[in-house]
Amino acid sequence: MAIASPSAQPSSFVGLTAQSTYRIDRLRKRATAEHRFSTLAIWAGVFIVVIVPVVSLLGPVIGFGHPNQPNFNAILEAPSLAHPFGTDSTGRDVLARVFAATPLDYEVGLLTTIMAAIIGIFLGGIAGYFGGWLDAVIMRVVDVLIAFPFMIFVMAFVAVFGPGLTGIYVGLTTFGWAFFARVTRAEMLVIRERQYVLAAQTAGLRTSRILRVHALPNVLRPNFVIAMATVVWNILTLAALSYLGLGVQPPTAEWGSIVASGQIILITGQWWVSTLPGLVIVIVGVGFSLIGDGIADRFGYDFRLTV
Amino acid sequence: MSGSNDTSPLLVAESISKTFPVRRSLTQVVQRAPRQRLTAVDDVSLSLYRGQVLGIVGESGSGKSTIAYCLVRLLELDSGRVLIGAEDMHSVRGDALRALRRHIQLIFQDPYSSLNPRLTVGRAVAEPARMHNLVDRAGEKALVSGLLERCGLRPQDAARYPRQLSGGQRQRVAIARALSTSPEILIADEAVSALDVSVQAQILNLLAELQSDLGVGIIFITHQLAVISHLATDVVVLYLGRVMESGPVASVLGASSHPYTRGLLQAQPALRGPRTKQRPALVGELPSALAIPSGCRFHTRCPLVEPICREVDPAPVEVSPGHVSRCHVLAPADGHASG
Amino acid sequence: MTSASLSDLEGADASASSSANLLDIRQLTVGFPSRRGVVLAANHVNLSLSASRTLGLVGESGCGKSVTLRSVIDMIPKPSEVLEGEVLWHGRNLVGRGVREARAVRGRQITMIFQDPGASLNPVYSIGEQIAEVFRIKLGLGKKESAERTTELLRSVGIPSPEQRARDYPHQLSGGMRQRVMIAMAVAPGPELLLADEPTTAVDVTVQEQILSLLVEIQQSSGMAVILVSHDLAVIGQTCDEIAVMYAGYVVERGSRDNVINSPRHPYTQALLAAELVFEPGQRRSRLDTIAGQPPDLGDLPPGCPFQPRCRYARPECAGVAVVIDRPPPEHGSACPFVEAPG
Repeated sequence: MAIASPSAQPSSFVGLTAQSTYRIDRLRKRATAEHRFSTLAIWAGVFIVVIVPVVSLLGPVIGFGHPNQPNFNAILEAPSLAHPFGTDSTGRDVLARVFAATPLDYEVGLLTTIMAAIIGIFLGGIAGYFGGWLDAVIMRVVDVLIAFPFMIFVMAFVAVFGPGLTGIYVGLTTFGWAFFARVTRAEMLVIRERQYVLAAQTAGLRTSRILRVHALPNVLRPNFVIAMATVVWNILTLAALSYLGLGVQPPTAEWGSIVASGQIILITGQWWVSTLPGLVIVIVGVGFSLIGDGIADRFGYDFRLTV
Repeated sequence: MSGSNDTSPLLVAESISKTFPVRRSLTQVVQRAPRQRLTAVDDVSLSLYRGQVLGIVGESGSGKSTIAYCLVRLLELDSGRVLIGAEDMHSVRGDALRALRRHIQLIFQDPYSSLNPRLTVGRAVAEPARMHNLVDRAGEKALVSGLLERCGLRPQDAARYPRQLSGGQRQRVAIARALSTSPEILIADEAVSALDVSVQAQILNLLAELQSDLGVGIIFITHQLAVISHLATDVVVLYLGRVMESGPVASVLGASSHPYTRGLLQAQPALRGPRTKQRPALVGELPSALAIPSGCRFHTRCPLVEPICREVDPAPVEVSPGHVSRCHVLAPADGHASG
Repeated sequence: MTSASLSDLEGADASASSSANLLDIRQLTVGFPSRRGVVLAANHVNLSLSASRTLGLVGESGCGKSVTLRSVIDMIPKPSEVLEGEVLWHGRNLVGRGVREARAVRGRQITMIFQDPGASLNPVYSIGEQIAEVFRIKLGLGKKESAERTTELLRSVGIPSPEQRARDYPHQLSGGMRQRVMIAMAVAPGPELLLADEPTTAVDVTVQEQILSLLVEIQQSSGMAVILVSHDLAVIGQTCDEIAVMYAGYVVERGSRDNVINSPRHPYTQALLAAELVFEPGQRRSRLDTIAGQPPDLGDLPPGCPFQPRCRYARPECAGVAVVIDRPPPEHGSACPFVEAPG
């Protein structure tokens, strides 16, 4: 029965057999591997989410052609070195169009999420903190919003505001805040009973300060995960709506509209116009999701949605 | 506080009562069952003087924590008054209430949730003082260092976060924070119950020290009689929301005149006592606070119960100077105790 | 087990007569992974228990008492693992890599009660059903007999009107009642050993008194052995024949209750006794004896004895101490080679 050498181990390991130290190493490796894996996931997500806009901005510099300029000499060319994503039915370089669409999709995805988060966290926060009729009213509105079939809802806004992005912005934001509100309210119900909030009340702090310094910062973490999922959701919705012709109008480049424009020609074998930009949408979605999930795993114990 | 001198009480609770509504199930609503209220505190009066440590002892359901919350107005009263100095805590509002809060602070039970995890120790401790404009940016550092040292921590700890501290250290931070407005009254709500034994003694010593150095009055709420016997000068024994017995510790715990107090005393596990114990002092369980027993609410578990106990709620009787008890048998109104 | 056989066991050297002991825990070492590497929650724990005896495991949070208790029936939650050692039940090992023996004795020969009765009572079945199930499944009794014995058992644990109460659901009972039901369920199969993990920590002192007195009564009438874990030294002192004091995963002192409490040999035990809030009516101690410093960080223990940072007798030699109890059971042993009991 070999005794592990004390110098390499914490002092409490004196007297352990070599077999035990082997098992201890195995336990430790497993724990750190899990830890590394979720960290890896986060970084992979961040990489994807950042690399896509960076490359998109550099695109015109490298020169793949103009996203909106038809070139009737190069219609429907298959992917090649000159046109990595091929060209579409008016000869435009598909990759250039994807690059051009990136700022738009990111902007819609991020902005609507941020606005929805701000509204939702505020309303959910006061509903949870103050309770009473305020809580009842806000939560009923939330219930109604969540019960709505989402697509139809946004389409209704598009119908009101006409074609273009305004309707989509308003629709996505108006719908999106409900989820943040619900999560925030649930967290707030727990946090307002926390003893540090009670201590702040006893100390005579003003309510605005209590909300600002003590309550809201501690409510933010679960919202972050929701936010990542919302960004993905919103981008996909925008793509879907553009695919249906309700989003951006031609010739504006948007991932969904690019996919839509290639749909007819899938049958005739020109697959690249729909498929490759579609792949980009999926990859970006995965990127944001990895960040959200990775953070949820990594800081798991901080992310309880209820006690 | 205006007009206070050494002999006037720091705090007086006059006949305070607090009940909570109980939610009814759908079946009950349909059956039109009467709405029930849970009686947490029932007509409790107590007072705290400078230099006193008042222990409030009781088991679960006794209402002791509810009383603490009522004294600092984290809960509203159903009836009664809480006088801090000369002002009623429950009738002032807004800035006047805020000003009154300076004088009375609360130390909570759970060291793991009584500090905001996102604030450094220094900011947490300084916040109440800053709120009441008792110190400005420049003086903050000195104030915090002073408080931390007084509570057994180092000035460097002001930069640390709660998650870096142990339970005992967090409780010290909570005490430092409570002291930041130089209150005359400290209420400790089971402040050592969540700590290890070795650390409990440290915190109790600290509180005793603060009390003698600063002259604060302390109300200590606990279920542990041993804590009371070490720290308190006076004690109030609660059962189901009502005061059963109160008075100086030596008198109430040394020569108790209430069967509940006696039951509590006997129930304490005795480290060095004989292994084979006599029968448990109190039988039965705590009645529900939704249905307080008639007459003396303790009669359902009392070993000395008499017929009158089931009908008439005993009046408080002074059995020795300052020592008051409510019991028909041990503290009868006519002065002839038969216990 | 009668007292005659008990005295046969006294004075026997544990290592030589392991077959005479009901339970022998040998060199038990349990580790779990943490951010700072692997931490040993129990470190070479050696304990033994004879039939019909009560052993108290006492120590503060993180000392390893609960882990030790749970490892007796191989119920340590993942990711913790038993790294070394054995738990010998009637000479048969129950734990360790690849060993699956514990399942056979769990719930029949060895049963357990917990701090939170809500955890072991199923909210969707009545208490009568749950207890009767133990009789039917563990003892193979018929439906009628199980019901009768259930009623009897409920009565014996002090539940009034047992025939009616048997139909109640756990949420209709108070904390103290639930604890009694849990004790009933644990005692129903007639176990030889009962493990109690902080059974009275969550109840009022008046209920605690009732529960402890019930446990002692059951123990004496059925002759079962008990291991009681608590952080409350007074509870242990009141109910146990033997005491083992734990600190930072090690057993630092072990012996009969009278010896450990009246002549503590280990500095930690001495300090714990001094800091204990002993109830002295009518006397206000001006300053309590405390134990300096903070509870140990298992990931960052000093070499040698883990109590060094807080020990009033600490000296350089302590860093080379092997934390091992110096005398075999049933003698009064301590892991500190330098300090003796106060004169």
